[in-house]
Amino acid sequence: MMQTKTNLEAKEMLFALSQAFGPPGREKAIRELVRGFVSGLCDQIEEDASGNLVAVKKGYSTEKVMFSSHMDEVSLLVSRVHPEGYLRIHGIGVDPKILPSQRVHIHTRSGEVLRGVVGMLAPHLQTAESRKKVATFDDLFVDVSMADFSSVSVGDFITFDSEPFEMENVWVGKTFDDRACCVASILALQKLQHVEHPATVYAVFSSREEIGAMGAKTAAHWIQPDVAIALDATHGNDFSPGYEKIEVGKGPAIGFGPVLSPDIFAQLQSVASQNNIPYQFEACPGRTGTDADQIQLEGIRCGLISVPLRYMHTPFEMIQEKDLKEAARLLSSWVSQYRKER
Amino acid sequence: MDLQALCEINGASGNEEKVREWIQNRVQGMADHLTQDPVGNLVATKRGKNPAGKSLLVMAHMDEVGLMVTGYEEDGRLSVMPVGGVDPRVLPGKKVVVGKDALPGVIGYKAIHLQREDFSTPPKWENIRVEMGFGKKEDCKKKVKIGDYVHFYSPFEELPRRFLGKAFDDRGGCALLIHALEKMSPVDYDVHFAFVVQEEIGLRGSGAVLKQFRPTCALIVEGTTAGDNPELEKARWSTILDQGPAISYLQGGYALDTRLLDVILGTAREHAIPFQMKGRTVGGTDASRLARTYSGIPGGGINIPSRYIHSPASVISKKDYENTGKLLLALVQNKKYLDVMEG
Repeated sequence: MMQTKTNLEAKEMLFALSQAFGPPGREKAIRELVRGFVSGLCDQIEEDASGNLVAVKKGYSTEKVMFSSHMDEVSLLVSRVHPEGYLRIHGIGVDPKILPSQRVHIHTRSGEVLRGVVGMLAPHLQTAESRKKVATFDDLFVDVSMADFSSVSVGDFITFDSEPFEMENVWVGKTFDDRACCVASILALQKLQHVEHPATVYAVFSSREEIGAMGAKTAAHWIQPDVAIALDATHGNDFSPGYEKIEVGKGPAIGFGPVLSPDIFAQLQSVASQNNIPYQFEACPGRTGTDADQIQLEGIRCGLISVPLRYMHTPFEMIQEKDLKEAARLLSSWVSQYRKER
Repeated sequence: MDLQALCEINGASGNEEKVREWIQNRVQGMADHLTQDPVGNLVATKRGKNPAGKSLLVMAHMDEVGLMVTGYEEDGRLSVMPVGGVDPRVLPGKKVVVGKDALPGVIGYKAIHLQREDFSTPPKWENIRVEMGFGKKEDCKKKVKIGDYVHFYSPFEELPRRFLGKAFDDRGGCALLIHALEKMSPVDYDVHFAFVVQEEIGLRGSGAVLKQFRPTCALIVEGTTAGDNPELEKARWSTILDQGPAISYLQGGYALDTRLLDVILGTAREHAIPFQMKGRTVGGTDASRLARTYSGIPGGGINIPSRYIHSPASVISKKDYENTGKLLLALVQNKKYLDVMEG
């Protein structure tokens, strides 16, 4: 039997992951952290050319199930360096409206991390006209005049300078989308240490979800699982026009829609009921905007478990620990019961 | 470092208590006389050798811009309104601290995926909310009171060329006043170093401070707008970082007496201190209030150029900060600054 390493707490893992640098295609630091967290919880750790990390935990049957939670984070990209000491930027999944006066980190190719501030005109110098303007990437800039910036080049990634912290009932921080689900996946592996499960588990920590989920696709391709479950963040508390509200603190959401397998949906629902796991429904009438979209394209039946999260893609995404833990319990309970229909 | 300590204290207008206490402790023993007036202004006086009724008032304001809790939402979040000039567009996605116990909160913003028409409308006060994780109004009410101050969470950072943080407007001025008081050689006239309250909500402290004395003239040390942003045409820049202290000559509600202006410029030249003329007349300082008090107290202004002021992440040049300090010290000790007003 494998060594039983100390089970790390969710908060410890999530806060460490939150602080690490990992834009799409640059997930190395996340992979290293995850590798540390899952070693001792699985039989094998694999990495592929896409940058996915896969923890394999053997079951006693020939069946294969895959989990997929993505490691990458929304970020900014340097599109131009001006000699006066400022950068022009492009956003990857970022709302320009949250950027003015934001402190950021510029990660240079040589591995340096520089300080920057997204500039904003002081109210004194605004005009009636300019006050009505919304920040766009055409006029936003990052001030890097604080220090020597000669090492910055076009294509460097920029991430939010924001430390995770705990408030009343909730945790907030950057990249909880989707590193909270990476943690849920790890917690599920922890639980599976004490449970017999027929299927071999391939816990995929995927790359490049924020730019189209190609990591999950290549992982599904080489693993060829019988079924898969994508884990991602979904919008909590804020009203999505035309949809039932999903709430932070009311348990994970189970997705239903054309991309997702109705069988897995039914299984997840019944596992949740049997184990008294609170859950919510999430209707996904089209693409889900998660790894599931790409896993389906590999011809694999896929389910979706979502952790409700508010203020998505901002420096302070908000979740409740309870939702994360219940998502992990749902995942591990489902795996331990999963048998291929014959 | 004084500047760091001062900037990291939270003290929006009307809530300057902790700033005042800090300054009071710091200047203990430097001044001959220390007073606090009923509105909260703190004045440290250095007595002159032969004042003959003459005195110089040097002034910086202790308050900073911030927010105030004005309402509870059903979902446990807080509505807030600005204390002083805050552009709501700098708030989304920032961390704040709420109330006397500095409880942490964040100003969340609706996720980009959920926005419709609001994608292209700027954040407004009506949709700025402080999230503290309460979830329910009743729980929120137990910990937060209407009227509690909300301050930007913004640690001070010293970087090779710049200082980065909040409240340089006008803790930068406060720090330089302390340094001038500490370093100045004795002069004939009394010098009152006034740390005033409530500048940001309409130059209020500076009006009240003059109830204590009637200076010959005044010198205001401020953090002022830079505006040397790439999206703004150069003609509209107010000041430029690294070009030295900015000298005001005309501002909201006050035109500087040419005699004072000449002494300021002459002093800078004499001491080979680089300076720049403030390129815009926007914004007011306490000089405007002084000009309206008694029969008008003439006041000059020297300013530390600051980028992104009134926001959680402001930037000043270390060189400008030092040079503003040098100019202040030279002016405090320059008798001409008072004498020109006699003639």
